[in-house]
Amino acid sequence: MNSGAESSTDSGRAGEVVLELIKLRKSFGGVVAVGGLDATVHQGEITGLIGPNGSGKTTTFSLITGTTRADSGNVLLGGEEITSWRTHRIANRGLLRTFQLTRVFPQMTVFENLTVRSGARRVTRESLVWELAEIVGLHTKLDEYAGALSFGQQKLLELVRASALQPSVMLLDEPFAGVNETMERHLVDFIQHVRRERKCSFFLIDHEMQLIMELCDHIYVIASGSLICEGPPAVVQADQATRQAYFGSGFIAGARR
Amino acid sequence: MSLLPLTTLGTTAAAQLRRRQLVVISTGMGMAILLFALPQFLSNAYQTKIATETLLYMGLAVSWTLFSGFSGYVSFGHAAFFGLGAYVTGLATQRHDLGLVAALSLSFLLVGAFASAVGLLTLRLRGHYFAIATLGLAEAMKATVDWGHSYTLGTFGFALPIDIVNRAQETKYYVMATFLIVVVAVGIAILWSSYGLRLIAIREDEIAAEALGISPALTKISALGISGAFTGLFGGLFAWTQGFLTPEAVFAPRWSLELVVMSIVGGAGTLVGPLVGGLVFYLLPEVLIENKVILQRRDELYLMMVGIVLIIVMLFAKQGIFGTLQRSRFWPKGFRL
Repeated sequence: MNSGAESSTDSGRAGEVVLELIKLRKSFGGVVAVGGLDATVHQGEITGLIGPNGSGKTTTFSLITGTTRADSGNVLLGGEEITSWRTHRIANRGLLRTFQLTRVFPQMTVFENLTVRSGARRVTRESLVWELAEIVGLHTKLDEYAGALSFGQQKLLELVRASALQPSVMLLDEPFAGVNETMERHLVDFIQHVRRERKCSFFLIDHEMQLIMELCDHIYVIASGSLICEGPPAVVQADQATRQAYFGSGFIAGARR
Repeated sequence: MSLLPLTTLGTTAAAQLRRRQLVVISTGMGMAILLFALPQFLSNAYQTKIATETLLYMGLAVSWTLFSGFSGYVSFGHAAFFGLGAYVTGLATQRHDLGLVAALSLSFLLVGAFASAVGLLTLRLRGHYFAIATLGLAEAMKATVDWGHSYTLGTFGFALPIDIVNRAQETKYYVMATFLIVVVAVGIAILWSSYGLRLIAIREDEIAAEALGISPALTKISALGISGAFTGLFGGLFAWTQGFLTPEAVFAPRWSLELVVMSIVGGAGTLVGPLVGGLVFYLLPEVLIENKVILQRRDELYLMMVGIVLIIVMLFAKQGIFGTLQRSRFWPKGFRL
C-alpha cells in the first residue's frame, strides 16, 4: 500500500507518511489538469506545492478533499484509502482545508464560527479553541460578526477554526495571498505553532516564494499538472527546470531580503 | 493582553448566552399564558375563529422557517406538505374512522417522511435550483388527488366526520395555540442547538460547512423532514378547523407563496420573524375588512398593498421587520431568535 511512498522518501524525510497521492489524474474535457501526480506529506512536515498559474495546484487540493472526483489514482490519509469519500467525511477523518479566498461564515459571530463544528456546549469546556484564538488575538472579537473582520483576520479565523478540530493534515490554499507583512508573520507563526504543538502536518500552495522556501521542509513543483521537481527548498531553488517553468531566469534566492 | 484566564474565555461567552436565553424563555412562557387567556377577551365566536386562523398562519410560517429560514433553501413546495397533511387527517378520520389525535399524528409522521423523501431527491440541487424544483410539487399533488379519486374522493373534496369537527370554536383555538407553542419551542431548540448552527452554516456557506466536516445532505434532509412534518400537522389542523377540504383549497400555490412572503416580511432566517409576519399578514386584512377598506381577503387592493410592502421591505429592510431589529446595534450580536 505504501509503495508510492517508498520511492519518494529517499531524501531522508522524517516522520511517517500521513497523506499520500498515488498517480492522481484529472482532466477537464481533454485538458489535463493533474496528470498522474505522486506526492506525500509526512508527519510534522510542512510541504509546499508550487507551480505557475493553471498548473493544477488547486485542482490537486480539490481532488484530495473530495470536492472534485479524480479520474484515476488514489489518495491515502494515514494509510487509509479516502479517494471517493465525500468531503465532510474526509474532514471528519482529520484532513481539513482553508480556501484561497477566505470562507468564514460572515453573518455568524467569531464565537459561532469557532463553535459551529463541535457545538458550543462541548467547546466551552475545551480550552484548545480559546487558547488558539488568544494566540492570534481573536479572543477579544468573539462577539464580532466574522464578515466585519479584516481579510487577514478572516484568514486567521479560518485557520483557528480548522486547527481547533485537531486535524492530522491541513491543506492551505494560498494562505499568504492578499495580506500585509505583519499579518504574514502572524500566519507563519501560527502555522508553526500548530505544527509544533498540535503535531499537525501542512500541505500548502502559495506564490510567496520567500515564505515557501523559509517555511517548507519539502516542496513539489508542478507545471501543467505534472511534477517537474521535488525536494527540500535548496534543491528546488537550484533546479533548472523549475527556474525556467516558474521562477523565471532572474530569480535569485533571498533577493527580496 | 488577556483579560480572562484562558479556560473561562469560552465559558463566559456561553454563560452570557445562557442568561439571555433564560430571559427569552421566561418571556415566551409569559406570552404563552397570554395566548391561552386571549379567548376571554374576545367577544364572539367569529373573533375566536379569526384568532385561530391567525395562529395557524403563524404556525405554518414557523414550520417553513425551520427548514427554509435556517438553511437558506427557499421552498416553494410547502403547499404540497400542507395539503397532504390536510388530506391525511381528512381521509384518516373519514375513511378509516381514526380519532383526531391519531389522524394528526399520522399527518405529522407521513408528511415528515414524505418531505424527507422529497429532500433526498431534490436537495442535491443547490440554491435557486432547489426552489425551482419545488415549484411544481403542490400541483403534482393536486393531480395525484384527482387521479386517485376513487380513494381521495376527487376534485370536489369532502367533509370530515361531524362528530370530530363539531367542537366549540374555543376548543379549536386552544388546540391551535398548543401546537403553535410546540412548533415555536421546537424552533427555539433547533436555533440554539449545534444542529441549528450547522443549518445556518450551510445557509452562510455550504462549501465551507462541508469542508469543516458538516454533512450538508444529512443536515438539510432532516431539517426538511422536521419542517414538512409540522407543515403537515398544521395542514391536518386546517382540515379539522375548517371541517371540509378540496384539492383546490389545500394545494393552492398561494399557501407556499404566502409562507415565503410572511417569513421575508417578518424576517427570514429568524424565528420571531415568521410570527410577526404571520400576525401582520393574517390580521391586517381582517382589520381592513372591518373598516371597509377592502371587501374580502385577497381583494385586489389588498394584494397590491402586499406587493408594495414587499417592495418596501426589499428596498429598505432586506432582513425584514424583526431581522432588521436583530441586525441593529440595540440587539446583542450573535444572539439568535
